[in-house]
Amino acid sequence: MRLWAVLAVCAALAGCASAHVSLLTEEGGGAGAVVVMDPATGAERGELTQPNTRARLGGEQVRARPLKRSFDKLLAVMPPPPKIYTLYFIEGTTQITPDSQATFDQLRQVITPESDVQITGHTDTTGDSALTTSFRSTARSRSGPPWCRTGCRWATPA
Amino acid sequence: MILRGKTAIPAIAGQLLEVRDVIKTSAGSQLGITFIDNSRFAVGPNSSIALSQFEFDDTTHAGKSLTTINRGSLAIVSGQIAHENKDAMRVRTPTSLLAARGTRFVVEVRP
Repeated sequence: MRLWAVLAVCAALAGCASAHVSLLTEEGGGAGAVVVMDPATGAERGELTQPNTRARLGGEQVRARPLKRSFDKLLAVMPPPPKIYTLYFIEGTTQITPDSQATFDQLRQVITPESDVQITGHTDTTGDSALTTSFRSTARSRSGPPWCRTGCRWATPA
Repeated sequence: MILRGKTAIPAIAGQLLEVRDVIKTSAGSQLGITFIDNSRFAVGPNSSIALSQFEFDDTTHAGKSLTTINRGSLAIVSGQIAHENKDAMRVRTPTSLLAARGTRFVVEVRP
């Protein structure tokens, strides 16, 4: 009886939006959580914490049920995670170390015009920190790698 | 297709997106998005997704994001925003608000 009443309301509204959230395993294994909140108040309605579970959204409660479908087709277009290349400079210079030169060469091989390159600078803990900060923010970043003409973002180091 | 204000822009690989862009896919199309906090989206067919809010400081990793899914399917791998700021990566559906706590998940909305 109750089911019919719900169906009738949906028909009257020209179709209820039906929404679901599914928690998957993380790429490296394990899973985090997704918290479901009331959109108006931000009050927590519940959460999904177990991987491969699914819950309908919109009700007052969040009921986690086993996930019975796969999202392979959708996940096929998920971009791969960004690759991180760490380069070391010879102390006090803007020259990268020989080991890092090899890393740099690998980096150059994978970069295409579509690549988005983000560069973050860090310093070691030796020396005068004010001086290092000044050096880091001027010499290295201002000279910049010669291949970085467009599409490079420079992050001010922490 | 990307809706930027009232302008429709064809979506091409490598295109830079802006906050408040709306991404719309048709029946046969899907696309992937990488954000500067390393979070990633896969957008399924027949979807409408608005990048309602996105703030990220790539030095401190402070930031917050809000994505609105009006219809379709969206798979999300959360990034630095969710990792460093509790409940700062949010997804809004027509009926609820979600917060990602470091994870991979899928949201589906059927009109």
